[in-house]
This record gives sequence, C-alpha cells and structure tokens, in this order.
Amino acid sequence: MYRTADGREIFVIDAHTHLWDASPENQRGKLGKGWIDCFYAYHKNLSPPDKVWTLEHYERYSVEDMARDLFVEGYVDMCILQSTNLFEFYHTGFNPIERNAQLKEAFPERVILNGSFDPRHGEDGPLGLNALRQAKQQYGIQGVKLYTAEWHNGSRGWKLNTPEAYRFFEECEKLGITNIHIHKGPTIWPLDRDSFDVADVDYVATDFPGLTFIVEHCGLPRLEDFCWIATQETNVWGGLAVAMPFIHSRPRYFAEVMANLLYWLGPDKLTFASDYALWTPGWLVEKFMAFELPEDLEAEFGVKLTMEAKEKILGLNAARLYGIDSEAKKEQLRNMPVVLDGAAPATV
Amino acid sequence: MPTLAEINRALAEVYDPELDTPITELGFVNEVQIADGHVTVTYTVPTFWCAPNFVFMMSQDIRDEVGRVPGVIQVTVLVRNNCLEDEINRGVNAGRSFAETFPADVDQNADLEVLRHTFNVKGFLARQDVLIRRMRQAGLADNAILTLRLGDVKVQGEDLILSPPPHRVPLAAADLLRYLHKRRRLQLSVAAEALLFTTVAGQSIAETELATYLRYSRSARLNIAFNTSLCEGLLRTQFFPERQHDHSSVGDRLMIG
Repeated sequence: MYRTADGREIFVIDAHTHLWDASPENQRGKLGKGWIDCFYAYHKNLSPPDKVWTLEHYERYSVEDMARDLFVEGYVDMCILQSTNLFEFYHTGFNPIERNAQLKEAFPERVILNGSFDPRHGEDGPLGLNALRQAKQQYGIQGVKLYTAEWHNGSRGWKLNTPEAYRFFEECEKLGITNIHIHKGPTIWPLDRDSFDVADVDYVATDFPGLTFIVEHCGLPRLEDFCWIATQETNVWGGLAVAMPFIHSRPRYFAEVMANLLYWLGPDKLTFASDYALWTPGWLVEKFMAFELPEDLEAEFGVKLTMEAKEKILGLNAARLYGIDSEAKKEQLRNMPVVLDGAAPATV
Repeated sequence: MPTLAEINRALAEVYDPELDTPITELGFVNEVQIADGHVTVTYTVPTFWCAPNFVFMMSQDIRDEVGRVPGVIQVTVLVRNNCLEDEINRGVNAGRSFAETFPADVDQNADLEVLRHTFNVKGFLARQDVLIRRMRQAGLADNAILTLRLGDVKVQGEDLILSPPPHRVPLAAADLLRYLHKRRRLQLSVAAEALLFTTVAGQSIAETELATYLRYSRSARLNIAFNTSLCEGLLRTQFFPERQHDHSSVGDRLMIG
C-alpha cells in the first residue's frame, strides 16, 4: 500500500517477481554464470547506487529478504511470482514453481503463484501437460509464465503458434488458466530471424480470445511492433518490467515509452512490475507516484498519466486479471501484519 | 601495410544492426592488431545473450569491411562475451556463412540479409522522423516538407538551409547526413531532383497520410534510442566501471522533443 500525501491509499500489485537461486552451486557451467551476470549488469546499471546489491546476495536471497523488500519496504500488497525454469542453466532450475511456492506458503494472502509450460515437454515432461494439470490442482494457478527462449535438448527456443503449443493453450482454457505472461526477451531461435519478434503473439491472441496475453517488458526491445499488435488485439496487455527502472536513469526515455503505451494501449491494459530481484519495488513505486508526463508529450500524444491511471497500472489492472477485490484485500491485509523471522511484526 | 586509421575507418562502417549505430561509436571495439597484412579485431558485445544472429552479422561485416582495406591479406575477428562466441568466431574466421555455422538451428533457405533489411528500414524511419521533426520545429509546414527535393537542401555548418524561399533549420546537418547515408544503403535515390522524404519503397508521402505514417516511425525511433541506451549501459557496467553511472547515450541524437 502506498499512501499519498493527501491520504489516498494506492493498492499495489507487483506483477512480475521471482524467488531465484543462481548461486555458484546451482550454476551449470558458463551458461548459468552468464545468465546471472547479465541480470546483475541490468540491476547494477539501472538501479540507483544505494539500491545495488552485492553479487553474492543477488545470486541467492531468502524468502525473508523478498518479503521485506516487497511487503515491508516496497509498498507491495501482493506480488505475482512468475516461474522461470532454465533447467539447462541451473541444476535445480532458476525459479521453478516449487521454489517460488516457498513465498506463497509463507504469505498465502499476499502471493499469486503462476506456473509455466513448455510444449517441447509433451505429455509427461517436467513442464508438460500433466505437470500443468498437477500445478492447477496443487496450487490453483490462474496464470503461466512462458519463456520461449528456454533451451531444451538442443533446441534453443519455441514459438507460440505451433500445433504443439496450441494443445497447451487449449488445456489452459479448459483448466481456467487464463493469464498467459509471455517473456519476449533474449532468445536465439530461430537464429535467422528477429529473436524478439512479437508476431507470434498476434496469432495466439486471435485464436484464443478467452485468454489474456500479457507481454512482459512491453515487447521491448520491439516496442513499435508490440504496440501495433496490442492495439489490434483487445486481449494483449503490456507488463512494465524492465521499462520501469528507466524512470531513474533515463526519465525522458521512460516518459516517451509511457506516452506511447498510453496512446496505443491506454491505461487499462498495463501492469506495474519490478521484475524482482532484477530491481526492488520500493524506489520504483515512489518514483512512479512522483512522476509526471512532460507537457510536450501530453500534447503530442494526447494522453495523460493521471492519478487514476497510475492507480490502475500499479494494482487495479492486475487485480482485475486475477479476480481480486482490491478494497476487500486492503481490509484483509490491514489486519495481517508481515512477520519476519525474529523480528517484531512490521506495520505495513 | 594498412594503417590503424584505415582500419578504424573501415570499422566505422560496421553497424550494430539493431541499434543502427557503428560499433566504433558504441565502444564495442577493444583492440586492433596489425601485423603486416594480418589484422585481428577484438570486440565485446554488451551481454552474454546478445542475439547471436546480430553478433554474427557484425563479425562478418568486420571481416568484409576490414578485408577491403588495401594491403590487408587476412582478417581475424574475435567477439567476446557472447553465449555462442566460440561458434561465431570459428565460423566467421573460416569464411563460413551463418547457415553453415549453425546448420541445426537455422532454416537453410533463410537469409540473414532479410533480417538486416528489416532493421535498415527501422533505422531509415527513425532517421527520417528526426529530420522531419527538426523541420517542423523550425516552422516548416508539412506540405513544404513533403515536397522538398534533395537539391533544395544545403548544409551550412551545423544547420541546414532550404531554398527557395530561404529557410534555416538549426542543428539538422548531422541528421540529414545520417538520413542520406541510410538512403544510400537502401538504394534510394540521392539525386538532386529526388524527393527528400519518401517511403522506404521510394514513394511520395501524402500530407493527409503523414500523421499515420509518423506514428510508427516515432515508436521505431524511440525503440532504437531505448535499446542503444540500455546496451551502452550494460557494456559500461561490466567493462568500464569508471563510466558505470554515465547514462549519456549516442541514442540521444534520436531524442528530440
């Protein structure tokens, strides 16, 4: 919960978070190391200097660290955990659902746990159809995070619009897993095409109107193509992870990205995210609440980033996706202080 | 024997296709070694996961551009900090194509040149958008802008002078040169009688269509600037710690209000 100077209580959902283990013991050679080193460069480069962690802490943090950074110091009422497996880079995976579930177990009312699938796993693989059904049964997942860049058995990624993938989307519809978060980031298959291409989202969004496709990182680095698709397809949303930290280092870039997104998508299809632990949410929420669109962009795009728009982006939009009554949730959490091990209950 | 200045000039023609910027301006090039006619170029990409297709293109372009310098007998290109660097280095230095280097991952009928063209178009739109903005800011009406011919535009210091009637567009000279450079790469006319602003297919742009046309260009421009800034930042953080908090970017030249 973020309280404005005039007492308004802003409900905050951090829509993209992880509880990962990238410690050297879990790394499978140079790929695991290369992965976390790259993340750490993002973290170090785009965080304010006083928010930069040590690499050791960044590689592996505890449930308690995460709860403090989000629920105590980060204004976050609820977070969505997005499972990312990377079994070829990490012995026990990067943040598979089992690891993420630890936070859910500790803070069941504050955590939305998402699963994932991989069409290359077929029926019985660890990310196959049966595992998806099992995740629904065990954790009641309403969403999945798809990482099309995942390496698997010599294949270096997959596309959303294949018959194999469609079997999984059909299963999602059946199971009521309606929120499909898609990472559009580093992927190197097919190597001969644009690996950040968002065109496959267009197909699945049309063919599965009952599902919502949240393109994480707003399709950055292909913002122009993403905006085009998200305008045509009402069930394509944008997640603000990775765009957010530019609010500190490059506020003008952030302003232009926001102006574009507000112009093309409007304020109802955008979700705030820190991408924790890539960045921590506290400073992002503070800066976003204080942020104003420059007048020249308001004029050029004919958009405004009003308090209502901020409120939607920070929490109400994600609440709508996941069927959460924000007022009831606020009331519930008010009576549920966050208790960290060995510490007195923190007032949130 | 080729000189370092000649090699650097050749390297300045090698672009990061996605960032539409020469690798020399991005700070990617680490070292050039010249031993008689044998040139070794070592460069670093900003992340371990930089798309290997783009990395391959850059390595190949280095090989080709440097190879054209008189006196160069052999070029060795070594890229660092990429998940597929070994494969890329071996492939490029053996003179193999991309498809030959990654036979299992690549559609053998596909062509990296198609990808290159896609990004050349984005770069074209971004550069064009900057120039049109400069002209609008200088008070030119859209119909005047869209009917300009190349011969109507002269560089004067940092500014452009349009005529007739004479009209000064401040600080637009570099933007014009960058735009013309891209027109040449796309084999669009740069003759004096050619329209200055055309679509990438060489067609004129109607005034009534300009707003719609520029909407896509505007986000393409922002996207390149955003990516450039991100990539430079990631490179500095890892390899130039003294510049870690320097958030300036060559992409800033695309950021005009």
